Amino acid sequence: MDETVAEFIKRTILKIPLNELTTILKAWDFLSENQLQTVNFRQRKESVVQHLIHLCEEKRASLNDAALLDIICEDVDLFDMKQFKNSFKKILQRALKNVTVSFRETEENAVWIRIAWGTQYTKPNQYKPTYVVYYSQTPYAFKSSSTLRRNTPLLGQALTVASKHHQIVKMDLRSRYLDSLKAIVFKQYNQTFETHNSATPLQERSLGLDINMDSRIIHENIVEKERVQRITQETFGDYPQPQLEFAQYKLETKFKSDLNGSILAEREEPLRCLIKFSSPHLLEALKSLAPAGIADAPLSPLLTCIPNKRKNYFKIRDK
Amino acid sequence: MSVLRPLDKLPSLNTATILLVGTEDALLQQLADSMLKEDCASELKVHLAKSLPLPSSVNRPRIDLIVFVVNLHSKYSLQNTEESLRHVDASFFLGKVEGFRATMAQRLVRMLQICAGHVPGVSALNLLSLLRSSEGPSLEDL
Repeated sequence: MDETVAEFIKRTILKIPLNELTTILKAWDFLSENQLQTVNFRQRKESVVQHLIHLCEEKRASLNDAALLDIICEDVDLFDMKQFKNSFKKILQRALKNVTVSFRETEENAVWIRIAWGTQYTKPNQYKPTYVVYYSQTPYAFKSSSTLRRNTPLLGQALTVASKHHQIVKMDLRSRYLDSLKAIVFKQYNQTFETHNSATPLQERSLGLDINMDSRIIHENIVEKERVQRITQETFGDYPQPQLEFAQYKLETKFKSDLNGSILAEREEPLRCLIKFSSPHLLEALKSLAPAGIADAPLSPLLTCIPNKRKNYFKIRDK
Repeated sequence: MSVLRPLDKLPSLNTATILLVGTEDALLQQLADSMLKEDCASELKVHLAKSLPLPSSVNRPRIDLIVFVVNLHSKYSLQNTEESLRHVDASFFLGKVEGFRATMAQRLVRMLQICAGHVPGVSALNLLSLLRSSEGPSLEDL
């Protein structure tokens, strides 16, 4: 084995913390099971490294093998599923004593977690579990809304610690459709699969409205229609929108009035109001507002920013 | 600001043109379809517009009847109608029609024929003065 390769491997291995060493070596898959079994990982690090280099020499590690080891080490999010599950379960059990935690791994590096909550003195309630889906290659987890308020901080803590992150932040994004939440959070919703020939005259393209081809009907505002269509396409794209059911805006504002001495204007406390939009498919409904003539284009950015800002629950205050 | 005035163009032979003005295109389309299904001796032409004024670049036939379609649930629709009305001479006004789309389409077609001068004995001018007097028939009676 080349001197430089040996040196490179040595330095790479030295950088790996001892508790991750076996995981990384297994992932590297260069040294055999038998070889690894001969190593005493409890020794001083220098001794472990020396032994490993010796084994690499035996197997004639090449520069390619060394490079591969380097890549594996660079993967900071090297995720250990078993460790995550153990850690997660332990944190909940230590805090609550009575809790049922179950895991199911699926493709896409997702782990589904089911938690039935009890307390120090009561058995877990199996009829009101919380479901969490954690995508291990991302810093995101999705939680069902059925959690009792008092268990939410503990759940957050368990996820944070077990996944080796520093803190957890709740996003103001809610929907019944996990796929839609994923599409928005991972920014996967804006894939256009068809190519559009923009030279196609308006009458032939599908506008989402049926333009009657009866020649006895004449549309006077074709130019305006085209403007609306163009703006709608620029805002929403040609792709199907992710499915959300609500958008909620909490508004806090001071009453403004021209009249002097108006009781409402004198209020110290801001006025609060709540506006909620609901629809089986909110974003598609918003997209069709201007083409249907129900609203003017362009729509308010408060409505169109939803997938981009990854939120559908807003708090708006006076600046 | 150009204003549509009644009777300022010559009528075309056997053609009656109606202009439907409203923000909700789907509603206008549906009304247009219903009207075109009606039995009518005259050739019907239906123009759809979101608002007035109409684009001036187009050569269009005389408009015999204008119908403003308002969605009473929508402030936007009402505002649009109010703004469009400014472009129509006040003497054009005949009245309002409410009801189910099918009967409405029928009434509108009959009114349109009168306005286009296709009904012997009743002219558009007759209609204006008839409806203006309080003893005259209401639109529903036509």
